Amino acid sequence: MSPDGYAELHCLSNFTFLRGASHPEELVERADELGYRALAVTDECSVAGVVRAWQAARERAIGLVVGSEFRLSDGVRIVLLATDRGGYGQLSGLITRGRRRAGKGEYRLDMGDMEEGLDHCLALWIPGPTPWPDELLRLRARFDGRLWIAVELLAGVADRERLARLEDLGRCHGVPRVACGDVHMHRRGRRALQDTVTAIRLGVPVARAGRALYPNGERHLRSLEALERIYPPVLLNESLRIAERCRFDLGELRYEYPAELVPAGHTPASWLRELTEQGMRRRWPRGAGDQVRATIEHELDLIRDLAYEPFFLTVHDIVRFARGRGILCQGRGSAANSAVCFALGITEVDPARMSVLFERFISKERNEPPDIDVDFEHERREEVIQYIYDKYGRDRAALAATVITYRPRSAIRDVGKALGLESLQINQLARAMQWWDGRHVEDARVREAGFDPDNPMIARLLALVREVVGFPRHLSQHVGGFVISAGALSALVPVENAAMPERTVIQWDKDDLEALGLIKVDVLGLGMLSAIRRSFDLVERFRGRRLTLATVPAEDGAVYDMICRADTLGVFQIESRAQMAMLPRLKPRCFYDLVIEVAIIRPGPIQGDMVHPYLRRRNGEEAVSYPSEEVRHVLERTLGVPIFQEQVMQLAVVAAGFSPGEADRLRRAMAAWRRKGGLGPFEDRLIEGMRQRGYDETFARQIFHQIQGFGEYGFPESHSASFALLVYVSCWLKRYEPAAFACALINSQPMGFYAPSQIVQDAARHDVEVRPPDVSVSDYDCSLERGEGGEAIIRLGLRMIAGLSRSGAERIVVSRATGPWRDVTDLAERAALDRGDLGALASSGALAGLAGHRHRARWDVAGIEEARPLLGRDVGEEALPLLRRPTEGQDIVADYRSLGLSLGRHPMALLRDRLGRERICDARSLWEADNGRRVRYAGLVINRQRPGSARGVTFVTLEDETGHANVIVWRKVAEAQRHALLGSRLMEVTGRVQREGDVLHLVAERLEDRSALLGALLVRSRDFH
Amino acid sequence: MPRRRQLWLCVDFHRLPLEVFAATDPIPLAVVEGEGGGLRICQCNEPAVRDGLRAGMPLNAALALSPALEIRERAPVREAKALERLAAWACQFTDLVSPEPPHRLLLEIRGSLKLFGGLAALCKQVRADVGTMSYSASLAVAPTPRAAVWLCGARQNAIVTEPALLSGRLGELPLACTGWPEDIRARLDAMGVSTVGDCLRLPRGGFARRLGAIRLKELDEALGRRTETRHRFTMPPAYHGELELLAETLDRERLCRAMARLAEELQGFLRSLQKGVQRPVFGFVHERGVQRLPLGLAEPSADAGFLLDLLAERLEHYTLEKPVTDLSLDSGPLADLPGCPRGLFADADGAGRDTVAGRRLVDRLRARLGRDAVNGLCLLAEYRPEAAWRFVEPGTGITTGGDPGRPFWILAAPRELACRGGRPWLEGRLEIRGGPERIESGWWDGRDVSRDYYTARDVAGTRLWIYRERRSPARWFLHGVFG
Repeated sequence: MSPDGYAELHCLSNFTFLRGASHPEELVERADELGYRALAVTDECSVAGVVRAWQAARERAIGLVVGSEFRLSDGVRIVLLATDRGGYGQLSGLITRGRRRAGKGEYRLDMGDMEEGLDHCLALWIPGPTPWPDELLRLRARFDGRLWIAVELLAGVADRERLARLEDLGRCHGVPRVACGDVHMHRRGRRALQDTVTAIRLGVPVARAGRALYPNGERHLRSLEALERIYPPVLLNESLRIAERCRFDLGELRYEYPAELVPAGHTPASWLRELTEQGMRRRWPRGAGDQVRATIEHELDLIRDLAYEPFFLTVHDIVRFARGRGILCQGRGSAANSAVCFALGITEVDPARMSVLFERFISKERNEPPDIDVDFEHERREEVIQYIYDKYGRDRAALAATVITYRPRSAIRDVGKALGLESLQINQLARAMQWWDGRHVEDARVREAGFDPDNPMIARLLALVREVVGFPRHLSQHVGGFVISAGALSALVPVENAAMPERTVIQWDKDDLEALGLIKVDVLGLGMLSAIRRSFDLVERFRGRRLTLATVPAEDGAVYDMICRADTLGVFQIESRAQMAMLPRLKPRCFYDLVIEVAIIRPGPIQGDMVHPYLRRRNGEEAVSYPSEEVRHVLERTLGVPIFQEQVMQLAVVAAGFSPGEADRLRRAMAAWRRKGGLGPFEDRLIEGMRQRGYDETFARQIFHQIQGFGEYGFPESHSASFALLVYVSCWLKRYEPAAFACALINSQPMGFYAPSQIVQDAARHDVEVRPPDVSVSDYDCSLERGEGGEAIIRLGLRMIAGLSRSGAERIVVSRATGPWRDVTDLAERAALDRGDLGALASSGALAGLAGHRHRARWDVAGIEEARPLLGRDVGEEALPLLRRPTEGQDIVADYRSLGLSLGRHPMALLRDRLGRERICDARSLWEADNGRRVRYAGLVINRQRPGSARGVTFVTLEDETGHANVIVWRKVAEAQRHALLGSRLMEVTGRVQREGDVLHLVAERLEDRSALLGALLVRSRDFH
Repeated sequence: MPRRRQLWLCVDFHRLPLEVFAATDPIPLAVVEGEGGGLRICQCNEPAVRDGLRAGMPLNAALALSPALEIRERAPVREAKALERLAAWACQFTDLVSPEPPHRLLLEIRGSLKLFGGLAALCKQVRADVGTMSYSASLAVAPTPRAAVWLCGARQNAIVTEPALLSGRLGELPLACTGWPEDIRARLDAMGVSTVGDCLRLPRGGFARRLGAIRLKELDEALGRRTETRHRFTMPPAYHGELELLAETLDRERLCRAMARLAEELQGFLRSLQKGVQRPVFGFVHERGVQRLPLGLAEPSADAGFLLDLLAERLEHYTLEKPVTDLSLDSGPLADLPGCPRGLFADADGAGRDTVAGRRLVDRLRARLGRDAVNGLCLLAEYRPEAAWRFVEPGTGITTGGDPGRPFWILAAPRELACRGGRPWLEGRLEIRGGPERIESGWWDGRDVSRDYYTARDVAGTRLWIYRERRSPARWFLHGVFG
């Protein structure tokens, strides 16, 4: 009897963390190459890797079996395989049970769990070194007729004897045998990596891992030829019989959104219509126009045809809850920007403001799930999450997973330890990998860290590090992607515990969900929403007028004037360096300009060379032309330049003849090509398609180039529109309520690009007075005081004081209500402040009214004894100390230390004389320098930014008492002067002034770290990428 | 009660963290301290400073500036031991030596001034000896031990012998010289109090209450308002010194140069005790272990130069198995110096020149001692049979956990087998009986193996353990014999 082929039924991927040494895709591809008929991916108590395997298998002839390996608490090892949808649900339920019982990353199952509910699964017994008949009998009792003995011959000491023994056992007890490979890697060449991850798992160096390693590299996908030499044909054929019984395909998974939101007497469709009608009456009190009605009818029809009503109702319910709690929120995404969602209150973007938007709502042909993300105030998102858990229960709602993968630093640390390198060396090497070095480990960095990449040890380390980068390390929780189901979620996908107590995650990430067409609701946190809500609150308290996202006056010319001046520090999105530089050129004058602005200054359009053509066309320097009417229809609103992700897909459809489904696959390939490659097939298809439709090759190539540039950064118009609204609202607040806005921004920290210091300085430049924290008037938060002319003045809150506990600050506010304090001791007594709080107060200057200057305040505070029950704190009269008053410099240093900002002079002002002698100029005089002139400038480093798109350019913002200087550091300069670039708090730049209209840059030639001048001054940069 | 007036010399080995590592080679060297990723330069030598390094710099920044930088982690234990040896060395100058860890010595020298020819001469002698040992130190003299320490901390090489001048000099000192904890200094700094004088201006009660009574006590001690009792250092019974070399070497001259520090320390130690050594043992540490080179002297000696000459001589004919990474020196049992107890510190050359030369000749001709070579056996958890055991110090090995199916006798090195007609051959055809067992392991140390093992029987019926390489040229080897 000759074998007919083989199906591997016991195979681990690298989703069995630190055991498997190959990606699921690699396993499927290799098995297919070798001519396997099927491959079972059987990760240990997990199906986290199967969606990836399924995607790879879908494009090939090979069958995919879904299964999982288990080690029961009594040591018995089995593999369970799902035969059909029911079996998959049973398997998923079992995994969920095992995982939910144990801590994060672990599971606990025993023979009792095999008792029932697994009748649609097949079982393979994996005997240990000594096969115990007892194990076999116990399993036979539970899986009679569905049990096999896995015979795994891996070139061990006594393979022949083992085969004979297992054959005997099976014959004796009537259990068939099947050949299996205990596969851990797709090729033998992963042996070193497999040993390494084993060592990492055990926390010992490889050289001391000893018997925990495998003796050889046989646990790979072996060729059919090799297998035929090892196994009797009947055992190989048995693998095919089993594989044929496993007919389940992941594509069968469907799930339903909860139906309980529909009141009795309604269907989901009628209830959604009812809610929409209510919303319309609220949105259009005088009646909606015909066009709006028509749009809504069209959308409701679509939703009904696709049966998406429960999804919309679910999102509506979440938003309704948030609104009831006064939590500001805003939806975005293709479906979010529909007229229905506007009526339901999911979005505040009025479709009338944007006549052009709704082409990518949801389409029947694509059959893709609707996309709605909802942003909530970042500090209150947790309330929303708890609401979801409470409402649907933990068995029906869970967060999507995020797969945490090895990055260069973590890989170097773990692999280095496994290779037994000293921690000192490992740290050196790992630290040489900066956040901007991405996923690559370059030899240059290694040399820089003082290592020779050709040294055999280092070469071995680097080879392993490069292999392991991108390997999944563990599952974490997605920021806010919720999966909510009608029935038990565990029938769909296993649920496990997350690191955070009371959080559960499913075993799939968002890409997996998308690949399977499953819907999630993204419940995200957005700092700007907190800031806007706080601004509304402050304005209401100060002026007695309540604003909402919808009632902020639209299309205000003065707001756009401000935006055109790039006077946008602190607002949403258009506050970054790159955005600010673009504003004076783009000159947005209406809401849709903001939509474009939000999308255009992103890595995608920048790398696709779309920014400058768009600018030229907008400024009338370049003619706008379209190769065809279809293309005009797609690109007209962006002057012929594709800026949004939707446009690229539409182009593929109208110009290259892609079906909507293909276009959607293109979108996914775009998102992943940088990681995985694979745009190749689309390139030919796209260019050929366009050529056939009469477009010339240059145009076709240009479109492809733009698609490549978009890559994973492509930004959809539907998200841009929602963001643009927040941009506009934040700009309006900055323009008309600068004090409230700055105050709210500070109270919402940390968020955004700028620290309180910059926000306060910016407020001052806009003639807003800012007052220091003072125990006798400050609240916990920063607040508004009314000036003599009725103007709003910011009073810094006690929250600004480093080291002061929140509860301490709150007790101060309460105690103040009972009358003024006699002295610091009285304050300490009545507000029950401990030593830490008192010290923090003294250092902040907030005691000035009670104790005088900081030196005195600290002396006073230091003299307060811990309260003693009978004696209190009073120690009687003390001799007066002789203490010097702090100098201005000392006060500024203390301000920065305690508050992170100073209301006194800018620290650079104190150094000005000295810098002047060195002919170092200030920011204001840069504007007086001729274009191209070489200057020396020095300022505090406010932030460093290295956008992935900017081809290695680093942007550094420096600040002095006269303003900011924007420095461009090209890669060559950055590499030569990495230390000065990364290490400076006060940086000196020698470089050339580059001016274009209202934009000034300093192009660096030489950098110098002058931080020593600052002495003890503490200035922190915010670094972004 | 009138007290005997004291005079304290503080010797501050402020470069000790760096100088515990042999720093004579002109390679940039830095000692780092800190946790995990936050390693920073603690001290660095001249060549490193020329590369632009300075204390406090993050290690990575330093490496970017000085790629060839040698790095050592700060070794507090090593520093403590060095300070102890230095204390022993210092006992030659006075009978009251009091270590002030981590890196200072206090010597009460009022009584020694006459013996050493006055304060200036004594300080000069101390400086000279410190230089010979390749250490750096700063010195200060004051009527109270604490004042001497504080003055020394300010690095001013101050000499204050008059108690009346003390408060003036101390008052100018920045508080850093007090060695008070960081948080205390930060608290004082926050009150605008930055010098010792500022402290003295504050109300005593208030000061003690806020900064601790101990701080006030220390101020009083420094000023001589109260007496501080110092712990007296007692000499250990024998000398043992160790030194790590920056770069491993076989160069005898460099080894002798580095050994000079240990020899000088030994000399100071011996002088304090007025003893000599007759069987000092020089140790050379390398990857194979320690090679000990004992000298046998005809007569006890306390002369560093002589011991070093003798060592140089011996090294000429001595084989060091591997490049040396560390040095050590043991005094061995101490012996009374021959004759002339008074002439000990005088130059040994002169009248007795011929006798001395003759004695040295005898020493040079003494037989060399071999190295002990008793080894235990230890079984390691390893798949590669040749790596599954190693020699260890007797009594430390584990001899359980061997492999089943493994032969009792393993060849130290596998022996290649002849091959006839594609079959292995050893005085006849070998009959393969079992296998293969595949072993692929050991990539991590560069000696990766990939073999298929078989059990075979030779014509005489002996069971052999043989393997075939899986990589080309796929030769056969004999690796073991079953008992």
